[in-house]
Amino acid sequence: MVYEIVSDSLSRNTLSIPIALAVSLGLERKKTITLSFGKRRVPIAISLLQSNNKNNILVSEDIISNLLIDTKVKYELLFSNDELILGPVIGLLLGKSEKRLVKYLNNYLIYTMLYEQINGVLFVFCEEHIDFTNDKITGYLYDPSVPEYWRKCVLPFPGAIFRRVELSQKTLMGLKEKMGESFFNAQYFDKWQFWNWLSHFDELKEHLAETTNKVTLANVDKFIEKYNGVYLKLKDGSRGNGIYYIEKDEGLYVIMKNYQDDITKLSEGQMADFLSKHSLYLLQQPIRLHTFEDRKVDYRVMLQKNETGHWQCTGIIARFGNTNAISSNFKANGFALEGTAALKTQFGYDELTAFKKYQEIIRICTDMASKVDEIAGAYADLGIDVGIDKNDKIWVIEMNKRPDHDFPLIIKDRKMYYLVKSNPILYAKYLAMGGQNSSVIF
Amino acid sequence: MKHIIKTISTPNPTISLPLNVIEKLLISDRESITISIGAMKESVTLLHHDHRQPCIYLSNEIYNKLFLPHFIDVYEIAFDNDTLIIGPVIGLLIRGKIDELTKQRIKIYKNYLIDYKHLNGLILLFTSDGIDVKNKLINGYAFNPKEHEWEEGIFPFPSVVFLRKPIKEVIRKKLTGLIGNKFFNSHVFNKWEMWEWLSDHEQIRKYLPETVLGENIENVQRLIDAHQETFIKPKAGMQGSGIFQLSKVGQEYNLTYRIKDKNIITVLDNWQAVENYLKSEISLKNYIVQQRIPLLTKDNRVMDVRVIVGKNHNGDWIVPGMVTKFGEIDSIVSNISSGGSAQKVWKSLCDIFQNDFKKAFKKYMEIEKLAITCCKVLESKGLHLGYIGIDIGMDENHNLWLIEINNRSPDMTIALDAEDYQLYYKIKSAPLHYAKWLSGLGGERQGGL
Repeated sequence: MVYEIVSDSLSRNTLSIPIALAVSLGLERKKTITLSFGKRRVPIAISLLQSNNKNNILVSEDIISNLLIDTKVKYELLFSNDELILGPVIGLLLGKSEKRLVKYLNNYLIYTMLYEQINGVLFVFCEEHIDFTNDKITGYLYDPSVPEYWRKCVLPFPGAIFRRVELSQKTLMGLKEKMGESFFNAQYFDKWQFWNWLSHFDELKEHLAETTNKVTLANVDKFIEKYNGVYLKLKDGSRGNGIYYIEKDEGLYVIMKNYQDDITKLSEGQMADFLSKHSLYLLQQPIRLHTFEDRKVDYRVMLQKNETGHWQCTGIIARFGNTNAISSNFKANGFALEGTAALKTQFGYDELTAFKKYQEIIRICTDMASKVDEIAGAYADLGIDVGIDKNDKIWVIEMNKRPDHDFPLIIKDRKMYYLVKSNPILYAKYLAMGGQNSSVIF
Repeated sequence: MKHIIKTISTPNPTISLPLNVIEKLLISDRESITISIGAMKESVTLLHHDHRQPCIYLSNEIYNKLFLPHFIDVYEIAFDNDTLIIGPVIGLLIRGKIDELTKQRIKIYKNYLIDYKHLNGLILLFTSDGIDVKNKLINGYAFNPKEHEWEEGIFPFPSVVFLRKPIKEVIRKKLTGLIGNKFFNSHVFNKWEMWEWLSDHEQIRKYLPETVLGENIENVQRLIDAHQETFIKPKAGMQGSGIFQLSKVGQEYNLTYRIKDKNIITVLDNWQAVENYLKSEISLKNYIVQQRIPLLTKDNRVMDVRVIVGKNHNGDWIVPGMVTKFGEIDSIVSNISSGGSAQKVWKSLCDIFQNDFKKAFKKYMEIEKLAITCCKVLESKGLHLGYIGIDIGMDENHNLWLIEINNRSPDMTIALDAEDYQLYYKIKSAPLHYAKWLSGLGGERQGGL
């Protein structure tokens, strides 16, 4: 149910609530409780109303201005442990600057599609809008009743923040301190950290390409001896940027740069020199992907949390790359298929075998995502690159922390696209309402 | 964490775990521990070993008590509530008597095990007469993953049971005594109970057609005066069988029912005639009367949506998928089993909303949410459900209506009618993933690590 907040100028520090509602929330016998709105909280007196309009709640003016409650949108309520949550209050950290934020407001409407299931305050903001000193954020709140849909206003730190933009280290730390676990997809990590965290767990390591951040000639030789070749990759490169493949041929190092046919041959001394210029790189075991008609295939797993608070797979999309490129990042003549269809196409699987493989992919990705949650903090929106090798074995290549949401559009699956955009918002609501599954409130 | 169970001979009851596992489970300060396998609990001395492979050694005495089959290698373990859980040990309670079961007859239950790779442990099939309460054992069948076959024998009583049949009170008591409330899909409720439970809830009420009991004839008259069009449905009916349509046309009443693909209409002159007819022809106390919702039709076929709702490996309610059902031409109900066809809901919604995909998406999510909310409300009434089918219809204004909840062995082959094999496999594998979670061995945080 949703409730309207009515400003009450006659009382101070009081929340007046219809008796029937108080009973259904379980606060009819309470004298004082804590009222929280986003991260702001105050102790407040409860007064019971004999009212026919059981969807109106009266809140004293002073409280409304203390908590920065917006009274034009409708809210849900959750009462537990003597705390009444008025919400949800959800912040989306999207714009790089105010100028860009305003420019793209129209695009951000995609995040509001399920607002009827969300309610409360859903706002977008950017780094420069955050006022740590005065404990508030200026943002653009989604309000379906105004013609331009967004209304600029001053709000408290919200109950949950979803990050999807570059951020300074200072602001990042400030928000982490303020928000804790309710600031999700907060911290980005590179390929080396990813390997370093997960390789301690045998069941996960099995699906990860061996990686080292010590880019030395000795390590290049070691990898080549073990795997007949090695990748030199940019630590935080994405989309196949900055990838070299290195082999050895009659004492010379053969280097191939991604997407380019030009091959460089280097002597040992030249190679050492070359490596010393690539300090932001790492060395990685090459995965010999199972190809389809000479195309490399990789699978993008959209792993997200939703209103359940748990990881689930929103969809898998396979990219069949252009022939001969090192990675499967497809250019002109590549194509894409939905995951199950891709498994059937690439491996000739029947429906049941494709189902099992699909489940296995999801399970491995979920195990890794849960472990990353444990080690590095909260995530709820990951784009995981998965490869399948010549022996049908599943490899997790990379986890993207600010994943491209447009993948479903490549295969023209609008439902999946809308879901990818909506899931982080549903999860944010779950967080903002105290980690409760609030679709049923008794 | 996956482990292989082996035996050793020790004078006392013991369990020996790898040292690193003991450290991970934070139980290194213990001398003894309670282990649970299925419904059995035993207190044993805790030992450790430093073999590299994940292996559990149980003393012979304990192992023999447990009746674990030799063909299951891999079990998972977790430490919860001061107990070391080894399993999962999951049972399916099925129809019939143990002597009547043949491998041929029980073959179909392998469909629940298509994702065994992510279950592990012992999956059992048993009948009511195979329960040995005293020794906490069952006489039944266990799944042998190596042979992909059911094997007959005596096994430990499972810690979780998925019911594939309605049970009598005496069996319910036995189950409760053995495993508390860890058995699901046991309740059978009729249409009137469903309506009463759900209409209690404000968020759902607007989705329910107005409904009265058939035996209260004044209410029936009031309902038909208010809505002109009603359905008379058997309380316990399923699959749209035995449904009458009663309509008021001017001062007359038409009673329509369907026999062999034909609508038979009886015209009755006035309310008294209706009352007389109903009282003599229909055992009204077994019926409810419901406002008829003019559901959307396509090519004169009534359309509604079968939403499949189930609990997943995290114990959350989810909708693995839905299927649109179309009734026979001009039939008063939509039902696949009475000759309709099915198609994926997303496609139907896009048709209905003329490719306004955003509207279609919002409606899709509203259907999901309504179905899940229903399940949560039913749960709050004390029902333990694992998966059910909910029929939801839509009227011309695109409002949703809750038509029926199918909790007694909901027929999921509907996914096959829609040629959605992935959905079918998803539905079939879901209940045992939920069962595993119930047994304390599922969930993403445990994730095998």
